[in-house]
Order: sequence, then structure tokens, then C-alpha cells
Amino acid sequence: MGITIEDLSFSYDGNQVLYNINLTVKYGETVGIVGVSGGGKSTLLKLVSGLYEVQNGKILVMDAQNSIERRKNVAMVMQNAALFPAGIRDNITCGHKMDEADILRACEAAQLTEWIATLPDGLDTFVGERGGKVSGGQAQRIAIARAIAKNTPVILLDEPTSSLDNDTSAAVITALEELTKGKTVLHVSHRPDALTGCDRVLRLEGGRMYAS
Amino acid sequence: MLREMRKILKITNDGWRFAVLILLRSPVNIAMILVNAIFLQQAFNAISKSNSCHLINACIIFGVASLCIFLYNGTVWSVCAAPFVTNMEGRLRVKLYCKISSLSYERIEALPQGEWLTRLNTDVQMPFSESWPHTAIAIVNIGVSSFILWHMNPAVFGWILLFVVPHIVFSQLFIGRAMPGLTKKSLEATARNADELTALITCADVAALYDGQDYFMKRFEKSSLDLLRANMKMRARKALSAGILPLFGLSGYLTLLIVSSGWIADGRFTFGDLTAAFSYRGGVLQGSLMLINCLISIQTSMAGIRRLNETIAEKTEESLYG
Repeated sequence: MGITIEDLSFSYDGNQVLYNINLTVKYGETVGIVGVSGGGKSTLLKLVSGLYEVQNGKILVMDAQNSIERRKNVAMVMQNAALFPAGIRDNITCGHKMDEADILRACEAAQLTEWIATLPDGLDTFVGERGGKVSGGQAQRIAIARAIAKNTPVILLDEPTSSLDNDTSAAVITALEELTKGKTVLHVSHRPDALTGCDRVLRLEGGRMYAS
Repeated sequence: MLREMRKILKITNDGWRFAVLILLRSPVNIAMILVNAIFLQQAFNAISKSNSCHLINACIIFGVASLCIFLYNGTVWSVCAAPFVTNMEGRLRVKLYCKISSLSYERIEALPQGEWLTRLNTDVQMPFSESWPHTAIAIVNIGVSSFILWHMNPAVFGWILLFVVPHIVFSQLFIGRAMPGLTKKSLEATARNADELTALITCADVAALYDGQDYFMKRFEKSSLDLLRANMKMRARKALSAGILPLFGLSGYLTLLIVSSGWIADGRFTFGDLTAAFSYRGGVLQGSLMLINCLISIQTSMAGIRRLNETIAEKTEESLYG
């Protein structure tokens, strides 16, 4: 099984945001979750990814329950890509040793190759402090390349195109298609149209999950 | 140096009070040196002539004068200088903050976040350091002590200069000159270190998800080491300055003692005169050391003062786009 969530509840300082969530995402399945902002979608992804510890209930990702083990099995693309003040290469590899061919393949899949070819320093181009020297679309595609390079069986998407304009998001969507090919995907968004390619779409409202 | 400082005082709009405070503070040390020297001269002369009445008078006058100087100095520092400096720093920080917040986003983003923080937190403290009043004190000390020594015995003054001048030249050549560059590097390293720390916090989720904690920590460690190295270079220069102090100081003291022993034996100089000469020598020597340290400190702080002036002189977004 890709992702299994059983009776999951979560609260921030006594403020309950998720109530008894039950969800099963089969291996290779893409599940979309739609809901308004503040409905608990991002919290759910942070729990699944192992960034937050489970308070009540159980989460299994590729049969791993421990949060550190769960993290090893997931890659996540968020709404605003977090880049750190280093080159494109380091932002993709996060300091791990990686073959040049694998990095280039990740860049190709993330639609970065053409843009990188125009840069004098290529893959070693500095992205600026907080990614200030690259556009929002380029930053997002670097984050996608990072997820592709990690090559995990489970992909989590947290509104990856919502902050981009139509022209930019087309390239990002293509990159996302490459990233999610053959993977177990949990995609959350406040826009139902962003989840059109999903096998199933669920609704998260007031911290409770409903069938859409 | 003075032009940059004048610009800062113009910004804070209180230059005259700064000048008055420096003037009020500058005679304190030389007054203490004079009182001490005159007391020693009078006391030892009274002892050599077995005049106990003169000795008691000298002691009473010395005690009262010392108390007066102590009270005057304490009043100037605690009542006037400390609140003034706090007020000026606060005013400068507000003006700087207003200026930075009115700059275009493009300009703000062009520099590392850490550099803006350094300007707001560290640079604003630099113009009102104690170096400026201490420079004035040192100049007064050197001037008055030299004048008295010259009148007392030009030969003594010559011997003192023989050891003080090389000390100043050495300190300026090997320490003072290097300081602005080293400070600039240290400030740059501080800014980079702050950036790495920010990345460590803002990209904590990326680090956790992509198992990049080690990588982030190594980057932070590297920038911390760069900062350490930059600061170590400055400290090494300062230690060198402190190291040559005993060499010149003690050599000068011993030389003067040997030379003057002959004069005392000839009756051209009294032991009281010699002790007074040592006090004035202290005025020249301490003044020179204070001046060297202050000049180094001012040169060190100039990088920050210059950056403050540059920031204040920057064009705001409104002035750029009408």
C-alpha cells in the first residue's frame, strides 16, 4: 500500500485541526484532496511526510510508520518553493553525492534544461538569497527537480501551481507530470480544477474528510 | 574620517552637544596627571627637606583635588554622556529603519538579509563609541604633558619621544592600516553567517525531507569558521599591539632612570622632579597608547559609519519613481 491513514487526529496547542481522518492511497494511485484554505490540507501533508509527529492515529507510508522512515519514502513540492542561498546543483542534490547524469535527467524532466543552458555558470548558478535571483516558476521547477532526484515512491503536492500565472504553470505542470509518473501521489489544492488528473478526489472540510 | 562623522552628526541633528560633551570630558585625565605629578614633586621635595607641614598641605590639596575630579568626571559620564549616547543611537536607528523601509524592494533584495541586520544592529553603535572622547582626551594629555616636560627638561622630553614615536609608527603601520580592511571582511563574514543561519531556519522543512541537515550544518559551520578566521586576524593584530607595549614602555622607563640618576647626583634635578617627570611621561605614553587604540578603533568603526552614510544617502523608491 502507498499511504494508509487510520483515525488520524491532530491539534495545534489544543486547537483541533484534523478529526479522525481515514484514507488509503494504493500504490501508483493519485488522490486529490480539495478544501478551503485553513481546512487542514497542508497539516495533513506535513503529517504524512513525517515533518509533524502523529498525535493520535496511525500513518503508514510504504509500510513505514516512524516519521524518519516516512520521510525517506516521500518527496514534497510546496506552494512556495524554498530555495537556499546556493547554486542550482546544490539546491537539487541538497549536498548529497549524485551522478551528473542523474542531475541532468532531473533537470530535463523538470523542464529546466533550456533555461540552465542560457546561464553562464550553468548548474552552478547562484539562485540568490531565498531564491531571489530566479523567477517563481524557475524556483518551483528547481524544487520539482529536487523531488525527482530524490526518486521516492510517494509524492506529496501542496498547491504547487497556485502561486504561478498560466504561462508559467504550464511548464511546471509538465514537470509535475514527469515527477508523478508511476508514483503514489497525494495532491492537495483549494482549486478543484487543479486536481482534474487525479484518480479520486476527496474533500477536506473543517478538519474532516468527505467523499467529493 | 571626520567628514563621515560630521555627516552622521548632521543626520542625528545634535552635533553641538556631542562636541560640548567631548570638551567637558577632555580635561579630566590631564587634570588627574597634573594633580598627581605636582603632588609627587611637592611631597618628595618636602620629604627631602624634612618639611612635614608642606607635606601635610600637599596631601590635603591632593585629596581634595582628586575628589573634585572624581565627582566632575562621574557627573559628566553618568548624567550627560550615557543618556546622550543612548538617545543618539536610538535616533539614528529609527532614521536608518525609516530609510531602509522606504528603499525599493529590488534594492533591499540586492544585499543579503544579514547585511541589513548588521547595519541596523551593529553599525548604529559605531559612531558614538568611546573612541571619539578618548581621542580628544589623548590629544589633550599628549599636548599638555609634552609642553610641561619640554619646559621642565628638554632632554627628558627627548628621551621620552625616542621611545614613544617608534611605538606609534609601528602600531599605525602594522595595525591601524590593516584594521579597516579586516573589519570590512569581518562584517561581510557576519552577514554571510546570518544568511546561513536564516537558511537553516527557513529551509528546515527541505532539510528534513531531503535529509540535508548535515549539508546545512556544514554550510553554517563553514561560514562560522570564516567569521572566526576574520575575527582572529583582527585579534592577532591587536595582540601584536599589546605585545610591543612592554618593550617600548619599560625600555623608556629604564633609560630615563639611568640618565636622570646622573643629573640628580649633579644636583641639576631633584628626586621630586624625577617622579613628576615620570607622571608626565605617563601622560605622554598613556595618551599615545590611547590615541593609537582610538585611531585603530575609529578606523575599525569607519567601515560601519561609511555604510550608515551610504544607506542614508540612498535614493528612496519615491524619489526614484517620482
